[in-house]
Amino acid sequence: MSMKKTIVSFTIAILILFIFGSFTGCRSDNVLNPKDPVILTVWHNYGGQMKNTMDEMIDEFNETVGAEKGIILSVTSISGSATLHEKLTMAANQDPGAPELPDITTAYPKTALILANNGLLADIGMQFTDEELLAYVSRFLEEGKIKDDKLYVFPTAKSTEVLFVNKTIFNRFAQENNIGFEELGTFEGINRLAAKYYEWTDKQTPEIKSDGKMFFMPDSLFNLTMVGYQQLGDDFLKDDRLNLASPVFSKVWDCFYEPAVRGHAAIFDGYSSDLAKTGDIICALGSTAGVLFYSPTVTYENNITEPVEYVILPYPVFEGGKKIAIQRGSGMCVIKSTKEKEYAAGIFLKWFTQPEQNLRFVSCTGYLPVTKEAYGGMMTKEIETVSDQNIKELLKTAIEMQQEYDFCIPPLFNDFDRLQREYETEFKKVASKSRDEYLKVLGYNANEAFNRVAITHEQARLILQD
Amino acid sequence: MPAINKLSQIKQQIKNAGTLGLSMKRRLFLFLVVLVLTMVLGVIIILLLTGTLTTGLDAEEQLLKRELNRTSRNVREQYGQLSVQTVEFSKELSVRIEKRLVEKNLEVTDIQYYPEVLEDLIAGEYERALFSLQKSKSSGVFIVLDATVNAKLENAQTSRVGLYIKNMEPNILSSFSPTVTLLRGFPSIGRNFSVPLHTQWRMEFDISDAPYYRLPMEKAVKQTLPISKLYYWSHPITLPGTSEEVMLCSVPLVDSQGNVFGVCGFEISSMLFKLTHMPDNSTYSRIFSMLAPVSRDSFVTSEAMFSGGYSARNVLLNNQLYCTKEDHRSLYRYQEEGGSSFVGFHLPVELYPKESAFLEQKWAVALLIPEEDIKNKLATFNLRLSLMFALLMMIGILISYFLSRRYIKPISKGLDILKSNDFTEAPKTKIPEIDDLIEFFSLRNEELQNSDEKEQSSEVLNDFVRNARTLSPAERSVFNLYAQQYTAKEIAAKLCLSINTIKTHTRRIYNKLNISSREELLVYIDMLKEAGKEFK
Amino acid sequence: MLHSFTKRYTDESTEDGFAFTFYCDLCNNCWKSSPISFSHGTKKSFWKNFFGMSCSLWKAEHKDAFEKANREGMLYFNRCTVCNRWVCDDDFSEEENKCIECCREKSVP
Repeated sequence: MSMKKTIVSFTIAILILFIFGSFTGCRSDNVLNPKDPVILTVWHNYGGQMKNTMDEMIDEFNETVGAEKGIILSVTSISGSATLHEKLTMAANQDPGAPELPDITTAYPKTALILANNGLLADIGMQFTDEELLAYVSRFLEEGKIKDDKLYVFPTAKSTEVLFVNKTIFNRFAQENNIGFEELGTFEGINRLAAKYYEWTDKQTPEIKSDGKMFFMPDSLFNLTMVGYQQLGDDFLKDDRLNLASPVFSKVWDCFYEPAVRGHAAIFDGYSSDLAKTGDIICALGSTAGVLFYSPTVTYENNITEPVEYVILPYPVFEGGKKIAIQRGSGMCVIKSTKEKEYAAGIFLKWFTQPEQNLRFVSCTGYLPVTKEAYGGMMTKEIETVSDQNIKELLKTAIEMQQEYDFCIPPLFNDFDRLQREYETEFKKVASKSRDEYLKVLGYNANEAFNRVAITHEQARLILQD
Repeated sequence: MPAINKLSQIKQQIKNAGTLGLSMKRRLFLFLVVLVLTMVLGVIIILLLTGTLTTGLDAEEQLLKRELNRTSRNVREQYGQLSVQTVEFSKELSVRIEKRLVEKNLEVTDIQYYPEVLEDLIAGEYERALFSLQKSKSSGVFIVLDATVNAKLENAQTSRVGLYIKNMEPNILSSFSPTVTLLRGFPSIGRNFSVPLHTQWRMEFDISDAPYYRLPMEKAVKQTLPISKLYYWSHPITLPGTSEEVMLCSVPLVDSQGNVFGVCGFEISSMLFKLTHMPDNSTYSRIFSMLAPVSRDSFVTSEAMFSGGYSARNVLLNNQLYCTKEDHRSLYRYQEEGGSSFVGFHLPVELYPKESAFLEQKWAVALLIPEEDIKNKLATFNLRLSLMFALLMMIGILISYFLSRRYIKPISKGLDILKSNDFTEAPKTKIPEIDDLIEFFSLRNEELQNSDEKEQSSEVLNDFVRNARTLSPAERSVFNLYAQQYTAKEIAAKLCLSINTIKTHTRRIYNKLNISSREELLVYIDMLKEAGKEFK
Repeated sequence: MLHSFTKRYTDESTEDGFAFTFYCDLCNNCWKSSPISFSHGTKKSFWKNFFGMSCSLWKAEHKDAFEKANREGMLYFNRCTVCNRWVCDDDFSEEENKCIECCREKSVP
């Protein structure tokens, strides 16, 4: 009799619990409810042409995996990476007028570090098993472990730097001057070509002297220096300070200063793609993430347009140096909130970086794939289906670089931003000043003019020293 | 198998109940269950009558109506303010451009013939335009002039010069990095003002399919309305080469002579609209608001702006959304042909003033929820309610069950005690009626026992007397002497018989009288004496 | 001579003790009484008291013993209610309280 009673009361207890559970609609931590979906706000910097792809992919997720599991993604901000950095920093510091942090955001490691230092980020590694993590390119994961060996930045959009060459215009130039693409493999070669190009374009307008066009521009002088040092066997940053004393410095300095002063290379505060759009340069050293900025049309001064094709080459190497390029790119960070939001974010990230989705994203943006599988056989097969010619080119070059190059990850420390900013500003300022002086004294002899205005390596070191 | 057995058991029990009548426990249980059911039903009826049950849906409607009013107000405000600012911008711009042209001895009608002045002209308005953009909190500002830089080009007919500045983050006060990019305009402007070129930058506007350019200018030429009545809100369009839908408010540029020489205005991008008018989605996650043009009695959803937690665009397959009103509910129902259906409300919104040239354009703001979400919510609500009542009933039934058991138990125990006939050790049941009954029965039992005994003893006595009559005279004499308490030896002496003879007689007497000892005999004699039945 | 309840008896008394045997009136079944010893037994004056069996104490005790033996003997014999003869159990009918001879007589018409 008493046994029966126990069974009965036990059943009742369970029933009551079950019913109350369905009442409060409470979910246990890792269970999402498709009838009551979790809404995750997303910020990203994939604007412009990438926006469509991103929108489509997010919609697809919402309709498939999201609807199934009870997750809805809502994009509430699309901005450039610099703006995004500022927004996130403001929000992290809780500045007045700062927006509220989203649940998922793309971010560069330096931005993520600020968020992580404020304890705002969730460890994404917790949402993946070890086996799942093995599928990703390990150095990408390494770069994402920015603090305490926790994966705070999940790799979704990696990039490196490559050489964008306006093939149409370059061919015109090359054919008339018997030049091949090989010269573009080294920095010194590029400079040589730049000089020739200047002369060639100058001759196009014989009535105007010294109006030769600029040949190339590196988007980031700092990166060029940092990678250049590595290629030549030294480190640009020692003890969080610029290692300007190194003998390597002169090579790097020469690679930009002289061409800039002579007008072969562009000194410009904006993106090199802006200059490429107007045909002011035909060769740009920039991030793979900028591939979509090189439009298939060049617009000249008088609104004359010309359809052009680009060829994308691996990052140049200093003569005698090792093949090293930079590894950059942002990833996605998950802001710490509730366990179910973090779990839902993990599901999205897994889906987003699965080789199929990853390749789709990559083929429309120019970012690099993040899984080993994607770099493998799958990549070469899928490339043929990519519609954008530039991106096709880019991916082929990316595979080549993946196999042949070593990669250098920029270090993360608090002063890095400032050092980078000041270095580039000073470098450009000095070059600009020299250029102005050069133009003033430019007579018939360019070399003479240059020698008069050029500063020495030592002077340069002093100016650039922090 | 055990189920079948249980079933046949229950069947048997029901049969028994029919023939034998229900046991006490069952009766009580059923009565209590009926009581519980009545009470629960009563509660439900009361709730229904006082309308407590149905307010769930009413509350939702109120919520939606309030939200719609709020959204509608916000939209009117945003669009209204922007319209005003566009008009102001146009007036100011017209004056300034006219002035600058006058400085060069030109008139606005000359600009297409002097393309070389265009670059300076437009560059001169950049800062003003940027300032207006930031003041208006819109996502873009544009100026289009009726001229082109290079009239010799193929597409010169549909190419117009101008300026288009886009603000990627209109609702952030950005201090450090510029969020503006140049979508259209001279690249030199970008370089001089350190504004990056938009990824989809072109130098000039393609007006081959641009109502935002054509219509205001046409109306300005045809009619003599003031500028303030000539502003035009375009339906959401994607500018050529771009990938985002925007609504442009454009106003014609008119000089003091009444010459129309271009348009200018501001932009509301889908992202801006989405962020500004996001409805409260705490109850319904798929709720979204929509600003759509109204054509006859349907919304043209292909030309609408949306704001919601997620992309409502994917829910709408067709271009039209018809509105029907259900009579028994006050929520409206919106139906796509062959597509999804929604419920919600809508309000017409006036984008144009009374005398506007574009008054025939009708717009409305709607707040919609996919129908299945409301149905689910209702179903969940009803399910919860029914579960609650079911739980209540179950608890009631269980309590009834346990109560009936507890109530009946002592009674059953009492009955068992009564049956057992063992009253001496019977524990008290603490129920006065039953204890009384036990007391009564135990007394009756004793009485019965006594009369039984009495019955028994008189029976026995009768037997004895009967048997005694069968004694032979010789035995009788021996018996009599025994009755007078003589011993066997004494009897032998008295009757002058041998002891053996006496023994024999005695044996025979014992046999006949069914006794086994002299003592027994004496007892019987005593009994006889007591019963008054003496005999000789 | 002493008179017993049965017709025949024998006297086995000696100077040491007294013992008697009683015989059924119809048959030779007998019963011996339990010997009673004389209070002044012989061992002392055997020669003197043997021939003087006329000692008065011995005679008195002898008489008492004889009465006692009679009383005892009666318990082993039955008196017929018809002829008053004392008979042993074998010659007595308990049913009719008669000796078997009287029973026979009765039955002879």
